[in-house]
Amino acid sequence: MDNSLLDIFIIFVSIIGIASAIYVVAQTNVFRAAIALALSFMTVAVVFFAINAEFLGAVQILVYIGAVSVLMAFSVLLVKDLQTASSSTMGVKYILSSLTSLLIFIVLVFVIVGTDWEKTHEISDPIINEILFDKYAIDKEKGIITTVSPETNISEVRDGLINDSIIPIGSMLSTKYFISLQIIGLIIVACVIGSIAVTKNTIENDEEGDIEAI
Amino acid sequence: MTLEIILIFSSALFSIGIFGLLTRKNIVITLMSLELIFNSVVLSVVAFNRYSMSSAAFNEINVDNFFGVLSGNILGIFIICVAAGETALALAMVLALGKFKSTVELSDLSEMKN
Repeated sequence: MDNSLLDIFIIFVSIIGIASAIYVVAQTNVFRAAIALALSFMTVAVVFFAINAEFLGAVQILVYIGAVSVLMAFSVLLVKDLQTASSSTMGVKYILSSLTSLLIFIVLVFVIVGTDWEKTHEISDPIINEILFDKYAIDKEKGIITTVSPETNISEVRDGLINDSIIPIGSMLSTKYFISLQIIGLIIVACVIGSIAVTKNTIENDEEGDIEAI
Repeated sequence: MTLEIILIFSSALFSIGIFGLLTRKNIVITLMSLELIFNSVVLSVVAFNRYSMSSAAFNEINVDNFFGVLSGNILGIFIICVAAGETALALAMVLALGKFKSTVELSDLSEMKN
């Protein structure tokens, strides 16, 4: 895709995402907020797909839209009196919080606009050339890692890696980041066991309450 | 230019999340704001990985870990995993709170104060 066209597309998608995020924090109906949150996650996933991070986009859709938003909607349906939340009260706190978040946004935008991002790229170029990066590359036709001549352009090698990001991510997760992956799995197992323990206690107490009522 | 646009989008999501975290009292909407913050961080990490290759990312590259080019995506995956686990645990606690205390407002949960 043409670069300026990509920019316009991302701006368009970002406006939708920001609008739905504002809808999430301003809405009193929690169920509608959950649906708007799913839309906001979707726009982020679209940006992921647009900048060649397809794997992250798929993970975003599966985990955030498929699990987190649905879980929130479910919890809204399961808990009594949750559907209508209290709206944020106007007052000193409200004004202070909005000022704080606006200040954060303004500072971040100043930093982002003021930094020359192209320059960081230039600084790293000679270092890249020093390293034995030009020994290996991805053969685009065969889709495998091959040995290339030192004359191959570094940016070509990098673009090849970024365009076919799914296979490299898989091999990274199973080799270099294997221990990290196992630890993440352990954390998720702990979270699942903890949530089962919390809700199981709830159900048992509910049954006892029923017996007492009888 | 694309990097700047994505970073501004990410910082807007971040500040909206901070705003929701500070103003709202409902637990589920607070969690949603937290998810917005996590999401904005993942977005900025992936955008940095795509558009600004620092020298630190390339210094590690050798025959063994050739794919260090994509380490930002790996970090994004790990952030998403931790955020998903945290959300599952927090929503279980919301269910338990709704059952035991019949409230989901943060201002009503002040037993541990003082």
